[in-house]
Amino acid sequence: MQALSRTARNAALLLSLLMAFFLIMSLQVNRGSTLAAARGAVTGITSPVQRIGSAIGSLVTSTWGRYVWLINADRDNETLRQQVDELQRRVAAGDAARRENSRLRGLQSVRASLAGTWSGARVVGRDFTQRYETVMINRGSRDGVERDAAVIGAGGALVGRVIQVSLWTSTVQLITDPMSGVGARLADSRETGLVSGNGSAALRLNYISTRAEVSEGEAIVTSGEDGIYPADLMIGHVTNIDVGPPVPGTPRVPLMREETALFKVILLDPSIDVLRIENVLVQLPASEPTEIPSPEEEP
Amino acid sequence: MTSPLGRVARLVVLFLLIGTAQTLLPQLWLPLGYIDGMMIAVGLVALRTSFAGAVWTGALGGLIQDSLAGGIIGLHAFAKTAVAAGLAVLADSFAVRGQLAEAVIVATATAVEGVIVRGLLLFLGWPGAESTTALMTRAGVTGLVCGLATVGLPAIVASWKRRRRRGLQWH
Repeated sequence: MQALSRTARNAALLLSLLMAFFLIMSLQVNRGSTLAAARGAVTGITSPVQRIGSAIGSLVTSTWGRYVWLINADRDNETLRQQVDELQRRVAAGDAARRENSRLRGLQSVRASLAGTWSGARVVGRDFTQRYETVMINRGSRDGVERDAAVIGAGGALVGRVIQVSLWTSTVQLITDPMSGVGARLADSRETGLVSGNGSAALRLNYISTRAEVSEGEAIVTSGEDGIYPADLMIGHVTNIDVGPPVPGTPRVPLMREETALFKVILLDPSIDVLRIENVLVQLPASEPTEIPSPEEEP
Repeated sequence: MTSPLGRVARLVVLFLLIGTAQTLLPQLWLPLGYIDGMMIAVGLVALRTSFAGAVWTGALGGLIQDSLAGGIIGLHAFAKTAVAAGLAVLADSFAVRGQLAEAVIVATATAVEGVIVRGLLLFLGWPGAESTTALMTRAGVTGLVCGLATVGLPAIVASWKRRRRRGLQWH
């Protein structure tokens, strides 16, 4: 009897927890709420550890890189080894500094050409479930970052938008996330549509009429009509154009597929390589002070 | 003896550390993102505790994972709770003593969790479901890491201690 009641208690606990989680998920689907307070609390606790971990990670990778390099250098002539070591270390450090400098200069020039206030930020984490395309940056509410702020990368290419802000860090939904949506415009024909992630490295441009003139290689920029992203930020280039499914209810006519379809199916190659983002610019509210921290400046 | 509250606090700290490490590791090398450290921790705890303890552990680990991942809150919590419950029943019904058996069970549990997540995403009409290849890779890598962590590390540490006791130099 006691065993039965324990089994019943266990089953009740499991079912109530599963139902509670299902309810929470359903609420998010229906209302679009993302339980920002609960999420913010957890990221608020973990973000200082993440920042320290990110710094340690950079140190470990650079030390490891040097160690591997030193093993290879050891095969060289013994008398030249120290000189080669020193010179190559300088070259490597110089290259790294030049690359960093070039990236930051690129961002700086982009920032100067953009309207509004933008802050430099560094990517310090990635979504570990790999089910969502998100990255974490080292700027949070303390730096004036707000939810839905636009985030851009090198060359002014669109990276995504902030979906969650904690005190020290923010989570950025990348444009490659299947759940993202960006109001977009074809640079030449000025037709507008919606760019979303495609579950792959490519993006998909939806709602472009079959009558619109689109050519491969044509640039796609933000339209500015979605109220999140400023207009004319680079998104990508057209790589593939196809015809969408026919209008529901229309009889299927072979060889006349284009006549019965409403929209084209357009695939894009994003202007930014989301796997290799290191430094970004995040848009700040207009009322923020003009003094902008540099990406390397640690708070 | 640690109080129940102390055990919960330790578990929360462990999960926060694992979650934080899991957001950092893909930054160093992207394939490291395939290791589901949270599943390893939830799985190993679920195999060693009561049914209620396993269920709460799964719920806690899943909620922390959801909070850090930036997706739908409740998705991994649901899946991990269900998987932890299954593991507790399994451990109660069968003898799961070997570390290798635990690694295989954790790998299977990771695959089952992936299937549950995929089912939930399909049911709710949300995009972003993981491909079968990614799901199987995650399960395999997680099982391997679990095996290394439970079999390899204790053996290395024991061997190192033996060598130190004998006064030999460790290479």
